[in-house]
Amino acid sequence: MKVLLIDDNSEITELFDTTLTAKGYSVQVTNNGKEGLDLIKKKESDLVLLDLAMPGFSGEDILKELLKDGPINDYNIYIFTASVISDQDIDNFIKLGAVGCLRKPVRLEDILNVLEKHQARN
Amino acid sequence: MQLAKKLIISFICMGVLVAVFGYVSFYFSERSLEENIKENSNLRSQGILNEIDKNIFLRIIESEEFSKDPRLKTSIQISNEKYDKIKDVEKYIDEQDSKWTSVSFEEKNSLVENLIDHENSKILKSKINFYEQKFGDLVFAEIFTTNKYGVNVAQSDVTSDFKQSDEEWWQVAKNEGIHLNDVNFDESAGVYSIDISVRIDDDDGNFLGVIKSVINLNDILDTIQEAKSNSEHPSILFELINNNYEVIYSTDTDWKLFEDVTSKIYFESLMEGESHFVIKENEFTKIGELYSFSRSNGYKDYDGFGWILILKYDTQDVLSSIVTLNFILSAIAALFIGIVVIFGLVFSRSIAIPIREKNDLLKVLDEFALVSITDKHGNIIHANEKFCKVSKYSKNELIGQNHKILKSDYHPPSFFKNLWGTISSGKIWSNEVKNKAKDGSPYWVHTIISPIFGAKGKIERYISIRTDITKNKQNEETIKSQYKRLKDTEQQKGEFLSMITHELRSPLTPIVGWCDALKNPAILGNLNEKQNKAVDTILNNSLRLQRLISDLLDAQKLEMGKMNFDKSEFSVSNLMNKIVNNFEYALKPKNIVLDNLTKDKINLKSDEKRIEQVLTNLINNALDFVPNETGKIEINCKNEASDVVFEVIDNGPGIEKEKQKLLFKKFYQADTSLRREHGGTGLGLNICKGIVEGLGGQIDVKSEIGKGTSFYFRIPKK
Repeated sequence: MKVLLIDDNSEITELFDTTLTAKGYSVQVTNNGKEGLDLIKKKESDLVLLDLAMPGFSGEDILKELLKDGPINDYNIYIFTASVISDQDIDNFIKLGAVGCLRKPVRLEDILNVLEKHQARN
Repeated sequence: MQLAKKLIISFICMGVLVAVFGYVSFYFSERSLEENIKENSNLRSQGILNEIDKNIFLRIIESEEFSKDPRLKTSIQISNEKYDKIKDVEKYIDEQDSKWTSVSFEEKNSLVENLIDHENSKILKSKINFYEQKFGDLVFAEIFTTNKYGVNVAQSDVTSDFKQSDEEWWQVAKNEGIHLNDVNFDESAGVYSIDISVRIDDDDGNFLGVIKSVINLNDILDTIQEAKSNSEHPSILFELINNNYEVIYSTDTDWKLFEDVTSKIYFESLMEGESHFVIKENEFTKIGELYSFSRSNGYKDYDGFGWILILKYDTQDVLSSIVTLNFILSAIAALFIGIVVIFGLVFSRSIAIPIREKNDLLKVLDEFALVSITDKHGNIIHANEKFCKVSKYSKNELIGQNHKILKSDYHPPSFFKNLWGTISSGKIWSNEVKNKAKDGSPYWVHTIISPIFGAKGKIERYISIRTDITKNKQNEETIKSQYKRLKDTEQQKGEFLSMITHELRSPLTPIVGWCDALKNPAILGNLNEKQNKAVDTILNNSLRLQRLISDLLDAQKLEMGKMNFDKSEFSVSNLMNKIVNNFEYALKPKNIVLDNLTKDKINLKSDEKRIEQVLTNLINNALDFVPNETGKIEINCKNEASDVVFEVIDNGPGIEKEKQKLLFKKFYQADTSLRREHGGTGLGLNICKGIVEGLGGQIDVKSEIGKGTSFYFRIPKK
């Protein structure tokens, strides 16, 4: 299963690159929003973990850009954020086509659960 | 001045005006009455004089008639012939005359008797008797004839002269045909009389002689006497005056013939005109006297003697009707003025009292409110002192100006659109308005504008009553700005917290993540026991930090009232089981028992996640205080009438009574020394309280030292 992680923090991308790869996932990471957008558009990943608050081209910008072409259901995007977001916000993301949301800091157990469930669904 | 006084004065003025009007009309009616009396009196005197002139005229006609008597003519003819034959006729006549006048009455008898016994004398006498019989009084006092030599031919009575040719009347009658003599005392007849002398001609027109008739004045003056007795005014006095202003007759008791009237007070008036009217005050009696004068104008071809008839009245007598009128009018005027004044007093009082009350109201209103009146376009036509004081404009500057000059830029155009829309549709508009004074300083007024309708039901003007609320507004604005500042601070605090949360969570992510990775041998290989313990410590503290961040956020949300509750129906039993399962992993190493005592099958419509948060929080708290190995925690849920009651019971050391009350306060910690690895922020119970109350419920604690603690909360079913 291919996982794309877009996060400006390289320590985070490195952590999940290491841990998820060790758990048998094919992980692709980027610290750049624009690059992330391109990678998402390629639709090569089974699941995208998208950080929202990034300097420059943020996760929100990516979502906006993607939404220009219609719903984003096809991209299997998980919002992955340390920002304060309410349940209402999460509902809104899901309505727009996101699959779900993971709040930072995330326990390894929790992220593996999400990946497993997603894999099982598809 | 007081209104009542003004009204009374105006009523008195009205009364005076009516009185003046009354007096003027009275004056004119008095004058017209006087005119009337004057006219009547003039007509009367004129009538009397006419009557007198007519009588004299008749006597003249009769005398002329006598002159045509053929028997008289014949006898005069005979006498003329006799005298024609006398040689020195003039001498003879003079001798005869001197003999007539020089001797005594008795001695000239023979001569007189000759004449009196003359046939013609008898004729004359019979004429006198005829008229006396016809009129009942002596009309002709004496009649005698002369021949052409002026010598008496026949006579009704004894004459004083024998020869008449030397008399003026004889000459005038001979030459002009007639002679009239004004009033005199007839010596021969012994009466006051007027004489009529007429020339006698024969059938061929030759002068024969003269006939003279002495007219008794008494008969003529009877007319005056009659008029006096017929008069309704007993005070009336008639006085007949000849051409020389001598009295020839008077109804006064002690009058004298030929008394000169020029010495009398009315002389000057006499001189002024033919006939008129004058009122004078008698200088002795001090009684007003009213005189009316008329001058005789003759009758037909008789020109008259130019006599003047004076009618004199006592004014009190003749003007008694005017006096009566005067009195009646005065009484009516006085009564009217009295009524007007009394009515004025009553009316003034009845009007003044309610008006005074309204004035008092207005005074109070003027003292406390800004009152203005505008026309229908908003142009100021009245502004009270308070208005001027607050707006800092003078009255003169305001009158005529549009109310817009007070407008500040504070209110949007829609505000004034609403104002005009309301009042122009006839409704009262009321609101708080920020206005601008003359010096540009703002002031706030609570404004009520009421439209005032005219007689046709159209709006004519607007009355505005404003109260100065500038101070209130300033206070309000201070409070508002204070509140805003607080709000801003709160918001800044919120924003800061959001930022800090993100910044704290971001570094926690790799810490927690790497700890998990380290504890998973499949990722980074096996750790020895000490390494494992170190990682556990890092992980526990990281998780504690994470909870602290969450609690801070929740506390902030509750404080801001921004915590959202998502209510939906859920099974409480399932929730309780789920919670026990969640804690299974954490309890295992400590040998602490967590029991779910819930028996009821309950469905509740509320926020399941938040209730779970509260229960988790309470259980975590309990875990901090129950002893290891023997520690026991029970959770329970009971269905009550309108609430569902949740309970978390532990067998910890218990909490002192005084401290129980403080437990739910923010940042309060009952006993920091007993805190274990779960740690605490002092926010947990405060958040629980906030959530429970946010869901409409209540939370409380029951505890006794040594007997454990029970936290319970009730959530309403609806």
